[in-house]
Parts: sequence; C-alpha cells; structure tokens
Amino acid sequence: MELLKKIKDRAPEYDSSYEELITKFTVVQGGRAGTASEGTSWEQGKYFTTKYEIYMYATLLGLRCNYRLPIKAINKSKFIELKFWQPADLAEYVIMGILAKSEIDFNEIEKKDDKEVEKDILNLKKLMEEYANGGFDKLRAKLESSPSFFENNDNCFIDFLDEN
Amino acid sequence: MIIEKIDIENFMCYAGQNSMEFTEGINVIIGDNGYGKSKLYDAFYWVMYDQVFVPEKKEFQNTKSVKSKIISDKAKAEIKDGRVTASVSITFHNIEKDNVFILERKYSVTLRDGLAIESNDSEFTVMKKDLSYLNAKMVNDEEEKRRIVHSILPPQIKDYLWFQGEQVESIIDFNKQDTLTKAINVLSSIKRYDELKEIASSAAKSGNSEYDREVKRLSKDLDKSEELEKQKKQVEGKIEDIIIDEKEAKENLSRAEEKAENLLSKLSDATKITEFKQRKKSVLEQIKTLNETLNEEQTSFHRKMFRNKWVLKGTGFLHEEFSTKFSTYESFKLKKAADLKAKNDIESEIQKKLQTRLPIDVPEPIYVQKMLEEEKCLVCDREAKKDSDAWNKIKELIDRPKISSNPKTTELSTLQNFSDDFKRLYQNGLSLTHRISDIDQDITETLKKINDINGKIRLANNEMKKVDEDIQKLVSDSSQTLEDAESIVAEFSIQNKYVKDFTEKVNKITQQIEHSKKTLNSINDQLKDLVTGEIPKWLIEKKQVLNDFEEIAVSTRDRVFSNLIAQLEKEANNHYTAMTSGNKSTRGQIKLRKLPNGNFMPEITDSTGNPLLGSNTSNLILVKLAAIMAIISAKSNDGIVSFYSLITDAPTSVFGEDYTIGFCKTVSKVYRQSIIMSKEFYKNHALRTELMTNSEIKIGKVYLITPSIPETERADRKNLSTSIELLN
Repeated sequence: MELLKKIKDRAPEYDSSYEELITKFTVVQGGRAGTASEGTSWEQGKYFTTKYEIYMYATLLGLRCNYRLPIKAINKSKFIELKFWQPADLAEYVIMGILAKSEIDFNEIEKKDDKEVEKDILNLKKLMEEYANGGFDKLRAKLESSPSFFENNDNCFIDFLDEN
Repeated sequence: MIIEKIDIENFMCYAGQNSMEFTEGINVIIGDNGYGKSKLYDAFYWVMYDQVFVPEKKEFQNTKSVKSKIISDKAKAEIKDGRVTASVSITFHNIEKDNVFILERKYSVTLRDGLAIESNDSEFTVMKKDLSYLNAKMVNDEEEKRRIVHSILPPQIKDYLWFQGEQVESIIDFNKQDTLTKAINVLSSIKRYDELKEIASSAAKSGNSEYDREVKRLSKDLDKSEELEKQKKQVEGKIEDIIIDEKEAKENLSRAEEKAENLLSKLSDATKITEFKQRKKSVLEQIKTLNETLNEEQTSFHRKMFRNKWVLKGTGFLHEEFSTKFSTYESFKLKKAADLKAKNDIESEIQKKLQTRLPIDVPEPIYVQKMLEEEKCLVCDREAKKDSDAWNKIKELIDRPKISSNPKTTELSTLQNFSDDFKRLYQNGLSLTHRISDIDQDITETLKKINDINGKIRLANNEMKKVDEDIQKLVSDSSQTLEDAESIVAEFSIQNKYVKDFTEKVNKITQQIEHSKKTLNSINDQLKDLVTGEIPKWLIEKKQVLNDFEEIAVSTRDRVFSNLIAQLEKEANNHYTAMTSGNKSTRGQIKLRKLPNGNFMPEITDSTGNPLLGSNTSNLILVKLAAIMAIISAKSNDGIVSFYSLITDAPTSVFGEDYTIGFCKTVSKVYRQSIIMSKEFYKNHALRTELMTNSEIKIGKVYLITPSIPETERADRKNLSTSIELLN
C-alpha cells in the first residue's frame, strides 16, 4: 500500500458557509486554464486562481497559528482531490505538516492492516479540514473586523500571514 | 468736426432719455463688461450706417434684420398699446466754419396687446445750421444728406476712425500684404501718379512705333526688315509673357515671404510647443511602459505566493516537527535492521563453520542415520557412543540442512512499509525549508522593485505635469493651440521652401528677360543697319523724350510712394513709441518692409533692423493701432487729425494696462477729438485718476455708465436702463 498516494486520493471538504469568502478572492470559474488572464483576475481582487490555492493558504494559516476548528456544519463542500493540487511540492508540504501534527506514529502505522491505515488516512483528512477551517475562520474574522484590509492592499494575504 | 453731443432715447439698454456731451480731447466712457459701452458705440454707428453690431453673429446688421431689438425692452414693457420709438441723434460742429449738423435716426414699433408690429425701416433726418447760433433747417435732398454723412466720415477712412477693439486685427491685417497699399491708395494722390505712368507708357510706345515705322520705310531690304520686324514682335510678345510670369512669381514670392515672416514671430513658441508635445509623447510612452511593468509585477506578486512559495512563510517548524517524527521512525527502523543483521551474522557464522567440515549431504543422510544407530563412524570406522562428542558431531551432519534451511530474517516484520513515502515528504520538506529562509528577502526585494517602479511613475507623472504646465503656459502666452503650433512649424517649412523656389524662379525669369532684351537690341541694331538715308532728327528726339518721360513718370511714382511709406513709417513709429513708453519691455521699431511685388508690410525690428521675434500680443496690437493712426495722421501736415473724431470701443482691452495711459496720451495728441469706451478705468481707480489728472493727456468728458441690473441677473431686461454719470 502506498500511503501518500492513498492520502492524495482524498478530496478535502470545507464548511459551505465559506463559499462566499472563497469566491470573493478566487477565480472560481475560468481559472488559469480558463478565460481569465492573470492580469484581469488580479485587478478584480482575485488573489487565488483556484480553490485549492486558497484552501492550501487557509490550511497553512491554520497550521501556522496552530488553530484548528472542527467543521460543525452539516453542509460541507467537497472539491478536487489532493493529487491534482498545484504546485505539487506545496501540496506535499501541507500533507507533511498535517502528518507532523497528527497523532500517527510512523512505526505503528506500518504495523496496521490496510483497513486500519485507511481509518488513519480518514483522520488525517479530517485534521487537514480542521486546520483549513481554522484558517478560513481567521480570514472571516479579519474580513468582518476590517474589510478594508483586503482592499487596495496588494500585499494583504502576505501581510495577514505575518499577523498570525 | 467735433461731436458735441449724443442724445439717446430708448435705444437698446439706454431706456428713457439719455444724453452725453463731448468736448475736444479724449472723451472716455467707463464701464465694466456688459455695462453698455458697445451699445453706445452701436448708437453712433446706427445713426450713420443704419446698422448695429450683432455679437452672436459677429457682424453688423441692418435695422430691418434686427428690428424691434433696437428698442429698449423697458420702453416696450412700459407701453402695452401704442407706439414706442428708439432714437439717437448726434450733433456735429464744424468749428472752423461754425456750422452744425444734427443727424438723427429713429425706429418705431406699434404695440398691440403686448405684441409688436414692426416696420422694416428706420427714419433718418439731417438738420443743418449754417451758423451755430442760427435755427436748424432740415435737409431734404437725399443726395445732400449723403454728402453730409460722407464729409463727416468719409467711407474710405471710416474703418480707421470708427472701430471696435476686436476689429483692429482685421483693419491692419498682417496676413494681407496689400493692406497698406490700399490705405495709401485711398489716402494719397498716388493714383494720379499711376495714371501719369500709364499715359507716359503709352506715349513712349506710340513714339517707338512711329520711329520703327520710319526705320522700316527707309530700309534697303524690305524683305529682311519684314523678317526682322516679325522676329521683333515675337521677342516683344515673349518679353510681355515673361513679365507676366515674373509678376506672378514675384506675387507668389511675396506671399510666401510674407507668410513665412508672419509665422516667424510665432515659430519660436510653436517650435517649443512642438518639442514639448514630443516630450509629452515620450513621457506618456514611458508612463505606459512603467504601468505595464508595475501591473505585471503586482500581478506576479500574488502568483509568487505559490510560485515562490511565499505562502510557506513561517511554517518551517512543520518540517522540524515532521523531522522529529521521521527521525524516531528511522532510528527505530535502523535499530531493528541492526538487530536483524546481528542475528543473521551469527547464523552465517555457524553455517560458515559447518561449511568448513563437509559439504552438505556428504555423506548422504541415510548413511549418517545408520552411523548414529550403530554408534560407529563408518568413514573412519571408530566407535561413537550415543551422546558422546563423536556421536553429536555426526548428528550435526543431519541437523545442518535444517539449520541452513531456516529462513533468514532479511525483512522487517511489519504489515506495511511507508518508508519511501515518509522519506519523500521529508526530502520535499527539506528542499522547501531552504527556500522558506529566503522568503522575507524575496518579498522585500519584490516590494522594493514595485516601490522603485512606483517612484519612477511618480517622477514621470511629475514631469508630465510640468510638461503640461509648460505647454499650457506657452499655449496661453502665445495663443497657439497644440494643433496650431504643429501646423505653424509645418507651414513655416513649406513657406520657406516656396520662398526658395520662387526666388530661383524670379532669378531665372530675370535672366530670360535680359536675354530677350539683348535679342531685341540686336534686332533693333540690325534694322537700323538696313536704313538707307537718314532718320529725321525730330523723330529721334521725340522717341528719346517720350522714353525719358516714361522713365521719369515711373521713378516719380515710385519716389512719391516711397516717401509716403517713409512718412507713414515715421508717423507709425512716433505713435508706437509714444504708446509703448510706459512699458519697459523691448518694443523694437516699426519697419514697413517692401515685398518683391511692391507691397509693404509692417513688422517690428530690433536696432539692427532684423525682425524682432517673440513680440508680445500687446506690441503687435499697438503696431496695428499705430499704423491706423499713422494712416490718418500722415495725411495732415502737422500730424494732428483735426477734422475727424476717433470713436473706438474697447481698443485698450487687447493690451496691458501698462500701455493704456500711453495710448490715451497718444490719442489725445493725435486726434483733436476722440471718444473711447473702456473698462480699464472701471476697477483701477489709480489708473482713472491718472487719466483725469495727467497733464500730458488732454482730457475731455469722462462718463461712468452703470446698468440698473447686473448682466448676470438679466433674465429679462424689462427693467433694464443705464445710468450715465459725468465724472468731471
């Protein structure tokens, strides 16, 4: 069994209530492969060209400030599997981060049978979702407290990393 | 002829009865914009020419076009039913003869229920007093009326005596080379010299014909003479044609020179404006490129979050944590591998030892079993009692294959092996961690780059602003638009090329004429050689005298004309110097430059006689005013215009206040009487005081006119009237 491949086959979910926030900053349709050019998407205040970009951002933000938040919502949105995330090295870095934060013992997991490993992978996915949810929560709070932060500031998302 | 008085009733903004008296000297009517100055000028003009100036159309229109607009709205509003009349009358006094002319014009409409029934025509009456103290008699003869009007203001000089400030440009139009020639023709007796020149030419021509006929009659070879005569006619015809060409070429040359000359004063500014425009274009390009670069940088700034892994900023600890876990995992695995190795090593050792005694299955196991049962080594035939050393050694031979067939522990005994995955994540993390440490610097450098570009954009924008200001300033100083400037530069180069081309053409034609004249002389000599006998002496003399007469007539006409020009130039300079004395800027001198076609153009020259470039608008207008004054004043012996009054509306508005007093001084000296409408003295009380007290100004009456409603609040003019206040 290949652990990384199995992890990458998973598609993380997010709280559907963040859809608006995601859409606000992301070129949801017609992304880089679509009709919107980099220039125009930037001008529209779309700092991310795909959903997985903002998801990675949110996850790393959650990891960075060690803030995870279980998704309580019933409505969850699923999107693309991890294996399609680009750049792949960043996606693997996120997986690495989640593994580091997980309770999984690398030696112990090897002793488990396939079924048990699958269970661990499911927990890993859940953990990633919790960190991402934490990141999204931070973004939401910032957007609510100072909406202008994300306007007329080209560096907003970089600055926000520094704030946390 | 002095204008003593104007009476205005219900004329335009002058509702009710109004009157102004004037004396010799400069009479000034002061009023701000929209106060009724131009309507006063209209009042004068209307009496004389039945026309008023329509500002919307920028032209004078007859009463029949303007109709009831001539009549004061207030007067019309006050009468619902009945007749309302506008009238203006001017009293002229010829002091020398002590006779008086009262010219009056009236226009009436009939109002019925507020509606006006308009008539087409105004009524014009002329009253005359042969002596000022006698009763006035009405002049009924239309011809006599016309004659009186013409004597008061001769049509040919009207434009130079009664004009509005904005007309100055067109009265002396620098773009029309015959402006001065026309003025001179009108004002001088030069036409008589032209007639004389024509008479002399035709007399000379007839004298020459008579002489030629005699030469032909006395010819010894008639055929040859005929032939030569024919040639002569051809050459003469050719010369006439060439002269026409020459005239045309000279006209063209003059026109081109004049156009180039006119452009010359504007060229320096136009060139500067064009250069600035070019500069603006290049700065605009620069700004465009910079903005594109900035846009690119800003766009890629966000992309760098992922491309340059900025999103990992401050997450290096994740790799550290992973490393710890991975390290534990690896250590455990290594230890396990080491234990396994040790175990395998021991087993190998045993094998190795066995391997040194006998190969496996030698002897074959059945024999070995037999040996154990018999307790005897069948190889060496010695006893081997059970459980003795020898017996055990034999038994080992049976057990050995079992030991060696035991599987070696070569693999870790777990269900899964994720080592490669963990290692991959570790190495990927490691390589990214190296970059995390550079992120801050990378961001700083990128921000610096963006800042630099922003700085450059700011600088370029500042320069742009400056260039725009420079352009704006030049545009307003030179009254040239950007398009004007470009066309001036282009036009100047075209006209200069024309000047070059036409000069060449004129030279070529001159040579052709000379050549043809030589041919003509040679033909004349040949004809003369054919003469037998003698040409009568009287005929020779007659021809000579008539040709001399022609030459004298031509040179006299030219001399008289040149004298007129010189006089005009002198007068114009006197006026120009007097008017500009209040201003310290370089004013230059007026030079009337002769053009190749014989016309003259006024231009401002410096002390060396070269055209003075970059003269300000005030100076150019003053040159024109000086020329206008000179045209009238040069006619009189003492340079004083005593018979005609100058009436001008806002002549001073086109030049600076510095020149206003100079203008008034000059006017009061040149004209026995002038009536000037001006706003310059309205707000500037110091200037007004100077006007009224300066000993060099011969001041007449000074009036202040004020409308009852300011122009801005004049939605309807039903209450509009104008008050006239005499200030001295």
